[in-house]
Amino acid sequence: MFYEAWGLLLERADQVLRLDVRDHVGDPAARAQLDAVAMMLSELGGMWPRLFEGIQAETTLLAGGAGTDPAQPASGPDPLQAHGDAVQALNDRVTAAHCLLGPERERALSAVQESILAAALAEGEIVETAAFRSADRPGRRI
Amino acid sequence: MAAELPGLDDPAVQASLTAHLRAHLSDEVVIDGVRRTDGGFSSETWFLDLRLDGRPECLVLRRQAVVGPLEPYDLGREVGVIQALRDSRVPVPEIRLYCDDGEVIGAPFVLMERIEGTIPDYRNLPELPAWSDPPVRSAMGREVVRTLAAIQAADWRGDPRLRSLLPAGTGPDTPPVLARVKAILAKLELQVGRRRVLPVLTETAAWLVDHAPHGAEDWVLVHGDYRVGNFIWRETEIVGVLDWEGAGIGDPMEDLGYACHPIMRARAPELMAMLVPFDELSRIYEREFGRSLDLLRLHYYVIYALYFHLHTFVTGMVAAVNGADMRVGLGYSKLYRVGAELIRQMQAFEEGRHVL
Repeated sequence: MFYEAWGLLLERADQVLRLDVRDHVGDPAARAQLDAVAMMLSELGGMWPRLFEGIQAETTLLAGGAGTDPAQPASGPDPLQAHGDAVQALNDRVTAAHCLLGPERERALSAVQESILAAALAEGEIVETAAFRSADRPGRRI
Repeated sequence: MAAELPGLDDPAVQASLTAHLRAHLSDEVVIDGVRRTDGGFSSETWFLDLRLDGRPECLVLRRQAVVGPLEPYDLGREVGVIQALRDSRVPVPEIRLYCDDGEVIGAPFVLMERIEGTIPDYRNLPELPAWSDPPVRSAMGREVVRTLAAIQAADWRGDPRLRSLLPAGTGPDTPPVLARVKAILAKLELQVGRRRVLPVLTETAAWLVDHAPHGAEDWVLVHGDYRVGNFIWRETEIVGVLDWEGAGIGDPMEDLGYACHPIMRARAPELMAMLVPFDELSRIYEREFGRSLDLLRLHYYVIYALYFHLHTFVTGMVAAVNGADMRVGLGYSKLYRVGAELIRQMQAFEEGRHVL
């Protein structure tokens, strides 16, 4: 129950802010903050059911680009830590690849870029599902 | 909203502001009202209804942000740029007062003329009825290029306020953009940790260093955030260019690359700056500047614009956690899109496909 409920709770929290609280906030600047917070709650709630699968998928893709094994993270089973490890390993790989020369460099950079692109697209699938729901909301993003 | 600073509607802040204005602007000043505007995610903007020597006047007050995606902020630098451009062909508001004393209203502030006009944003431009009319869009596109020409005509070498914007160590083989690329990466490394920076930003920074245009020293004043959203329009005329906080000295293609940024024309990808197709932009540029667009350099600066934009999402998220306007934290939803676009653009550049 604990893990399953959060997506719905966050979406409900957004609904309360928008429908029950917003009209009682007179200051436009404060209302802009409320809109932003409500949007975050809504989108996080919408992403929640796929968030854990998403972080694992992205970790695997980043680790692939770094040439490391995501199944054997140095940090143990914590998925956030494993993702952080993959980011670090890929950053190290980027730095190393730019020091190479010739075809080896091209191959290494191409692998890095492909893994970043694949990870971005995987993240996009999750984000878009949630962001679609809040597309017509008041307020604007950075 | 910089939550830690009280608003200008706070009686104590207003009393302090009134005292300062009476000492430095006119001893006959009365504040009749203040209104916070919605514009800008960094420095706050307020409209001040004043009576100055008995005459009603509405001025704009900008208060330097404490936290935000582009910190550290330096309003004095921005004011210097606007003042330096006051007698040029670039339409900028008149500065009435600058106060660098953070004690008066909590942070340095500037009081400026309010220029009447509309400020559509690239996000809501299609809602503007006139935008649906291609000749109007063309006229707006011409105006964007004409204003850019005015900015680039500024004699930055002849004015110490502008000359000081040139990063140290620049030369024919180290163009100014390199200092910006490195400063952005250093800032990110400081904020999130050296190895925790988004790999796409690490990769792009290295790519931008590897591919920086060399050999030219035709540097100009660059606005740094040159896009629809920072222009005040009257019909199809730009009567004010706002938000000079990112101004610097750089490549003639830098601002145009920013204006052609693909994510900022997501609602009409075929229209550069949300106004004109690339071929038309190219013709307008040739007419206004008397030379052709340098496609290679333009493409490089589109990629730099994406890099800059993506970094603001990350620093925005950090700033939101640290007390800035929560709207700057919402960039998380675009990280993937700009990241993917960056990779595609770098690949296209390397393949010689300079299709924007």
